[in-house]
Formats: sequence, C-alpha cells, structure tokens
Amino acid sequence: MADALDGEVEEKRLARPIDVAAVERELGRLWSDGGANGIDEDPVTRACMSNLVVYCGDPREAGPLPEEIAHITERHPSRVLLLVGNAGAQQMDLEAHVSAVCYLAGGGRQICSEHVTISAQGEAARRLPSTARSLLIGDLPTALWWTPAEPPPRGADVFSELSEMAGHVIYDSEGWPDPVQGVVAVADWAAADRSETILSDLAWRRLKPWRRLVGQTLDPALAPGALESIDEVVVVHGPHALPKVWLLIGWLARRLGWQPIAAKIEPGVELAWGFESKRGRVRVRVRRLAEGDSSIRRVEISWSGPRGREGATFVREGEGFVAVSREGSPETQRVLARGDLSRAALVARQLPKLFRDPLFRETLEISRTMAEALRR
Amino acid sequence: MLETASHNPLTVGLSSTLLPEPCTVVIFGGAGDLSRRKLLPAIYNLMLDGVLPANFAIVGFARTDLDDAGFRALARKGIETHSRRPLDERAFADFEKNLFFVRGPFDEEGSYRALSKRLDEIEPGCGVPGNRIYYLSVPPSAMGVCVEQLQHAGMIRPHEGRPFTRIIVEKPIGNDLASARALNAAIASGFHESQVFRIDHYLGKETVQSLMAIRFANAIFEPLWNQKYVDHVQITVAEEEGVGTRAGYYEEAGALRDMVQNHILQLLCVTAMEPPWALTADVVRDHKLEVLQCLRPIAGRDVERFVVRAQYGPGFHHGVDVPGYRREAGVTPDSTTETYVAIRCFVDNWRWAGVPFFLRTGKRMPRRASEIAVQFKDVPPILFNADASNPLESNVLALRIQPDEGLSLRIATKLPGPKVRIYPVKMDFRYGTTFGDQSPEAYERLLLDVMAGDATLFMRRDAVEASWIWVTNVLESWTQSGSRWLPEYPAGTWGPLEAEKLIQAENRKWRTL
Repeated sequence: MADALDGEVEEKRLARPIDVAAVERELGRLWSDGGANGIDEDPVTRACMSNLVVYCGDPREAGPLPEEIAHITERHPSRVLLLVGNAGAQQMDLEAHVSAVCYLAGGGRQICSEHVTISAQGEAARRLPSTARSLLIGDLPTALWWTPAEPPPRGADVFSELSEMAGHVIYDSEGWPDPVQGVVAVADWAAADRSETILSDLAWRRLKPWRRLVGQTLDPALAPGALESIDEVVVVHGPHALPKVWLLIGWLARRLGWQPIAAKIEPGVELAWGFESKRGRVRVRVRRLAEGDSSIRRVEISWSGPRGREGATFVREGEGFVAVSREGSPETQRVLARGDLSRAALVARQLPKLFRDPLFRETLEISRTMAEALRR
Repeated sequence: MLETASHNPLTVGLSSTLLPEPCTVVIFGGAGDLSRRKLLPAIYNLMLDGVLPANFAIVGFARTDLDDAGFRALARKGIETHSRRPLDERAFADFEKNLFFVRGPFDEEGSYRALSKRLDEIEPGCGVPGNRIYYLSVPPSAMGVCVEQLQHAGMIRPHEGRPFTRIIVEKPIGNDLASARALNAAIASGFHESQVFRIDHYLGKETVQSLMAIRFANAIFEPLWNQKYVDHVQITVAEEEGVGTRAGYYEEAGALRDMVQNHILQLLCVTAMEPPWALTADVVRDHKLEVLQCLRPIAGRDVERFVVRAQYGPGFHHGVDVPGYRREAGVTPDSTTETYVAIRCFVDNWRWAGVPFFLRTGKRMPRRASEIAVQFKDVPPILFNADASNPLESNVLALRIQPDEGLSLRIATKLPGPKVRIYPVKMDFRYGTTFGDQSPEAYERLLLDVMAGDATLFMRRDAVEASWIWVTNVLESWTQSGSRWLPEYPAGTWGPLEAEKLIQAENRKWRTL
C-alpha cells in the first residue's frame, strides 16, 4: 500500500475465497489488523458515501469491472458489492472475495473502499440478491449498476429483487441488441415504479455535452427565433446508438413542445419521424453508419430565419470534443470538451444524484413513443 | 416549454451549474500575477467543465509589451503551472483562439479607443453579442481612472437589458472608510450597483459556501447555533509566508486591512447571519449586512482591551532562519505595521448576545490554515464531567477553509474497557477524500457567477462600507495612540503572548491548528 503513487489505485485482497457468511468478519479484520495479506501499517481512511451493487450476469463480461469499480470508488467512495452470476453453470456454488481498494490522496493519506465480489454458479445465482441485502451498510444510499447489455427489466427476478433494495438504478442503453423492445421495457417499468427509484441511463449522461452545446448555440441571444422555427433535424450515428438518438430527439421535442405524429422506415439505414410544432411540421431523419463505435457523429438542425434558411451543425471531433458551426458563418465554430465519457466516469458522476430527473423521465416517454411508432 | 423568445427551454434541467451567456472578459492587468496564476487557469478549467459559454473571448489589457501571441504564451505557462488540471493540447488550442491582448496605459483615452475598436472587431468573430465583463485586477489607485475612461469611451451599457456590462473589482476596496467610499462612488459614477461584483475569493471556497448548507440543510446544528449553546467562536486565518515581495503594499495595509476588513469579517457574517428567507443575492447580502450592523464597535480605550496587534520577529520557518518583519526588504526599520491581529468582538443581537467571537490572523505562523470553529458550552459538572480538576473537552464544530477543506466535530466518547474513561474523538470530513472529485478553485466559481449575473457571493457596497466603519474605529485609535513599538512574536509561532492573554482572560484558549 505504501508504494501507491499519488492518484494511483491499488488493491489489496485476501488471496483465498471466503464463505459469504464470513464477509463482514473478514472486512472487519482487514481494517483492524490488516488481514493476512491486506492493509499494512500505514494509516488509512475508510470512506463510504454509498452502497454500490454491481450486477453482471456473465463471468465473461466481468473482466473490466474491477478496474472500472476502482476508478468509480476513487471519485465516489462506496462499499461495492460486485455480483457475478453464471446461471448456466452446471455446478452450484457461491463464494466471496473481499478487498480494500485504496488510492493515495493529498498529504500521504490513503483512502480505501471496501469491495466484495460474490460469484454464483448455477442455481446459486438466485441467491445473489439476498446475499447482497445482508451486506449493505445501513443508513446509506444504495445504487444498483446494471451492467448486462440488455434492459434491466429483462433481468426478471434478479433485477426485480435488486432494484427493490436500491434507490437508484444505473444502466446503459448504448449497445442494446433490440432498442425498440428495450426502450419500451424500461419506460414501462419506470411508469409502473411506485418507489420513486432514481433511474439513470448512461446514454442520457453522454448526451449532456451535446445538449449543452445545442442549447447554447440556439440560445435566443445568439440565434433569435431559431428555437421556434426548427423544421428539420438530421442525426448521424454509429451502430447500436438508437436509444441515445431517441433521447436526444425526445429532449428537443419535450423542451420545444413538439408532438410526435408519424414514423417511417426508409430503405437502407434511414429512419424518419414527423413532429408537429407550433409553427408546423418538424422532420427528423436518423441515419446509421454501418461501422464504428456507437456514438452520435453529427447533428444538423435547420430552421427558417429572417435571412432565409439557417442551420447549425454539431460534429463529434475525436474522442473528447463536440464542435459546432453555423451555416454561413464558419468563423463561429466552437468546440466543447466532452469530458471523460468512460463508463466508470459516468457511473461515478451519477452516483451522487439523490433526486429523480423529471426531464429524463419525460424524455424517456417520448423515446418510447418514437420506438413504438416503428412497430406499426 | 417555449414561453418567450428570450427564454431558452433547452437549458432547463441541464444541471444545477449556472449557464452563462456568451461574453467577453476584459482583464485589466491581464499580464499580471493574478491573471496568470488564477484567472486564466480558472477560465480554462471552466471550459474543460463545459460550463463556459460556447462563445466567449478573453482580452488582456495592460501597459505590458505583449501581443495576442505573447498573451497566449503567458496563458499557456499559467495553465501549465497553476491549473488544477493539466494542460490538454487539443483543448488549449481551442481555448487560445479566444485570447487576445490590447496594450495601453489605463489612464490614456487612446488606450480605451483602441480597446473598444478591438473588442468590436473580436466579438462578432467569437459570436459574442456585446456582453462584457471588465475585471479590474489593478491597484485601488487605478480603479477610479479605469471606470472614468470606460465611461468616457462609451463602453458601459445601462444596467437594464442586453447586452450586459459588468465590472469585477478586486480587494482592497479602499484603505479606510473615506477611501472606500470614494472608490465606491467612483465605481458608481459609471456602473449601477447591480453591475458591480466586488470579489473576495474566500467566499468562493467550498467550505464557506458549505457553511450555509451545514447550518440550514441540517436539522441538528441550527437549533444550537445561538448564545444558549455556543460558548464562543474562533475564526483564524493563518499565513505561513512573511511579507515577501509585497512590502510596498503591506506597509500601507497591515493585517487588519489586508485580512480582517474583508475575509475575516465576511466569514464572521456567514457564521453569524440569520437564516435568509431565500438564497437570492440581495436577501443573503441583506442578512450578512445585518451582522455587520450588529457588530459592537470597538473604539477609544476599548481597542487596547479587545484588540492585540503585533509584528513577527526573527525566527524559524520550516527550520530555516527567517528575519523579523522590520528586517524584511522594503520595510522601514521602525515600521509599526501589524502583521498579526487578534480581536475579541461581539455581535449584539438576540442570537449572539454575550457570545465572544475571537478573530485572529497573522503572517509567519507555523502553518497555513484557515478555519471557523464553533465551541459549544460545557456539559453540567455532574456525571462524566464531575471532576473539576479534569473537565471534559467541549464539543467543537470546526470548518476548515484551507488547506484540506472540510469539517470536523469533536465529541466525547468512552474508551473501551471496564473503567469509565472519557476521550475526545474527532469526526472528520474532508472534501478531498469524501468526494473524490476535485473542488473547483474559488475563482472558477466566482467568475462563473459573474458571467451568470449571480451576485450572492460578492460584497455589496453597503457591506463593504459597514465593515470599514467598524475597522476604521480601530485604525483611528491606533493612529491616536502614536505607538512606536508593537509586541513581537517569533516567526513560526502562533502569535504574541498578549493574544494568549486576550483569550485567557475569558478562560478560553486558542485552538491549535
């Protein structure tokens, strides 16, 4: 532990798996005497702002999680319960590992979070929620990070049980194999939820720089009349980004008072929706690129202004930036840093949220309407 | 929903972060230390956070022989050295496109004609609709002339409507009551009070902002926050450094003007204010002003009883010999400028009647530390506190402003074991360790507030003058005393013996920081 450099994350764990019933005892030992192979004599600070339950339904997808979790707890110290299920396994087994993940803060102090990994094989996977329930620290907010690439409600009983103990559910709609089914399922679940659960879609969080730049560029002070007069939006995106595109369009529609009226699947890879605004029809076209990552690449917004047709084009530039240019005035191009959009960074930023985001819920409803229109 | 043309529905719900309008920041003294070390890194970090307006321009304005390229190089160096986040080449390339420099003396009409012309050229290209913020990072003596010239050049727009014009004024606001009033009057000749942002960077610090939240967002503190439960309050701003290269300024100022009149009295206001009925700028500032109005004047012979001033003598700083104040470069050998002040004062209102507030600040103290400590009254002398020879330690709520922003609460607990032994333990919360995210620098928050037009964390004219009224009483008494000698404290210690006596007279003691 002492050799951790400033900002570096270091994990100390007990080398052997332990019985689930022994988790609290082993954690206690880790803090009190350093454990067999745990924390050394250097003073450490145990910090805990939340319980974070991380669910992974397939051990093959759990690989990057420990590193991501370490980065999350560096920004938001938590007791982490990583639940790895393997329902398809033949044998039935439940085992745990405990560890302390520490990083060196200013003044040589080490800040440590408790990590518990519980792996369940076969039928034992059903016991994961009850195991997690017994390991939560009381009187702290609990968040569930649902990592499978399928909508949380598709997780049936496991999700149902885990979400009941969590006040906050975090998931990522980017990469869902069936976006229509996924968005409808989540929207249905959210509408039926009576326990005021906070719902966070990381795809919505990724849109924040786009929303900010669109909002600033079309501000009435800079583009008078633009917001009322938008009549066309074109979005170009990579594969598996449709839920995110719906959220972006849904946000515009919700904030600008557009009503969805029709959807059309055009030959090739283009989808089109029609909205009704106070000034008339708004046409939205969405084009999917055949290759590349699942990000939004380009958004074009057009309107009829006092000088005729006007528009703004927002383009993803490299990994970290969004750029904008206004039609006819290329010198006003601006770039906005998108910040760290890694999954871990996004989860860490969502965890302190203790309130529901009504705008997201409203946007999700419009996303559902757009998705359902494609079914007809 | 879309209500009016001026309302932007797309910014609703984005975040709690303020969303400012596109604007130009003109930094008077743009080539100076504050600009390089604090302002340019702060604006750069705001851009990285995505909270800067999409369209902005930063214009350095000073006599220094620089051009745009030189100013950009200065910004790069400042960010590389002083930014809380490392310089990112891609982001900086975008940032520096918006940096410009105009050279000229502040007192010449021609400089402002050139500045105005350059701004008119820059702003359309940057997409800034004429909103301007003038940041006066200049000596107080130059402020009046800057305002006068801005006005003369027609560069100040009316306070209503758009585009806006705002001005940021750095401390010190005057040297005494008369000069503060004169400076405020000079500013007011060009700017409406709603356009004026008097900056005190202490108010941008996380802990200071958090103090209001601690008081008014928790049910457990506010009921105790009064004379019934609080024994006394200590506010400390300790500096490690000596006078350094600032002797010219400091000889004229001293600790009372440099620290007490602004930072410490502002901290006192946030600590002692009544709950505001809204978190709007004027409501909060009205309530802070009330504290200053309730501050019992210290004048005449009371000054000797309630105020201790001193100078640091020779001593050690981290084990190295350092000279006394009178031996510092630029300091007159018979200087009576105080480098240390300790004050016992009272806020004469219902809430704080009889509760002493101990204020202290000094240079060349053992370490840099600022805090507000609220010490609660003792428990009755029975049960665990029955032994008069070993009284229990009192509960203390301490809010650390720097370094390691955070708070701690000292409580008494029982040591494990069969015997009843009470031991004080500290529940400690640190921003840097509890919340993993870095706190923004004070200047980041404050600059963003100015861009967004939120004056809550800035000093209003009436409050500045009220604090000068209180401080000037003490200054006048010192002048009248004609003292040629001040008590000394060795550099690297917590202050003079007289300060110990000041607090011990009340059976209390200074906290060790």
